Amino acid sequence: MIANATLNCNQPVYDDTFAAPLKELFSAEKSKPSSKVLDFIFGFAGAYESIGSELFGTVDVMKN
Amino acid sequence: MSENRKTDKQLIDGYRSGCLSDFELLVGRYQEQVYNYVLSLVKDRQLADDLFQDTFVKIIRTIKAGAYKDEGKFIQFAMRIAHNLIIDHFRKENRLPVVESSSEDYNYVDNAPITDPSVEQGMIVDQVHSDLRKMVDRLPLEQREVLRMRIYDDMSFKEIADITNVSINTALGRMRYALINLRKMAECYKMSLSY
Repeated sequence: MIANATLNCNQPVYDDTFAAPLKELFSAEKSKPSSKVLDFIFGFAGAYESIGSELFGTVDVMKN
Repeated sequence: MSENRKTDKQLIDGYRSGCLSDFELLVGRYQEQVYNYVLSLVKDRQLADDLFQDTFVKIIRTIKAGAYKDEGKFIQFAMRIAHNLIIDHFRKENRLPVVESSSEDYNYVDNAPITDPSVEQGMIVDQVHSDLRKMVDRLPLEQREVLRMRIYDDMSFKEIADITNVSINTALGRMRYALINLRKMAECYKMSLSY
């Protein structure tokens, strides 16, 4: 574990040094869920609608 | 009303009444934010896909059971579910991610002369990102989480506390520790974050 320094309440919570580069880093790493996952979610949402909740078991049952 | 201008509440009410396209719009609106939040913490695409799927299945069940209380904060509701699923996953695996000390030296790009300034600039940016990613990955999960929510998702500490189920003071403390640790690592390895 990184040894945490003593918490100093006067230290700023928001540090400009890291804000911009971190924001850029997170933006550069943006990704999307796979289309298979989205298909499953929409399928589940639609089927839930037409068949009813009592017929659906746990999430594990629904997964491939 | 244009579909894209429907509020989250309208989309949820629409789905509750049987309009699947409203639900699709809702997912489309927030899928990237939720997915990238999960991915940034678990760092594995397949796992992120699974947890993302589980999150929305749970959301569907909650809405259809009439248990969703609309307080105008659907994204927080979704991220809270995702957060809990992530914690459950790591607990099951008995391995909440911890930071391990490492004696690995950071490798820096050689300062060989480069004739094209744009190439050099690109390499510097890549190096900064790479170094920063290593630093962020070394933070404990809860500090990484609050850092991302605050800096990238622009959430207030109240929202962060809500999603992660801690007090506002705890959320603030985690943010402070995250910044302290980042500063320490940057100083220790004499890293520059400017380009």
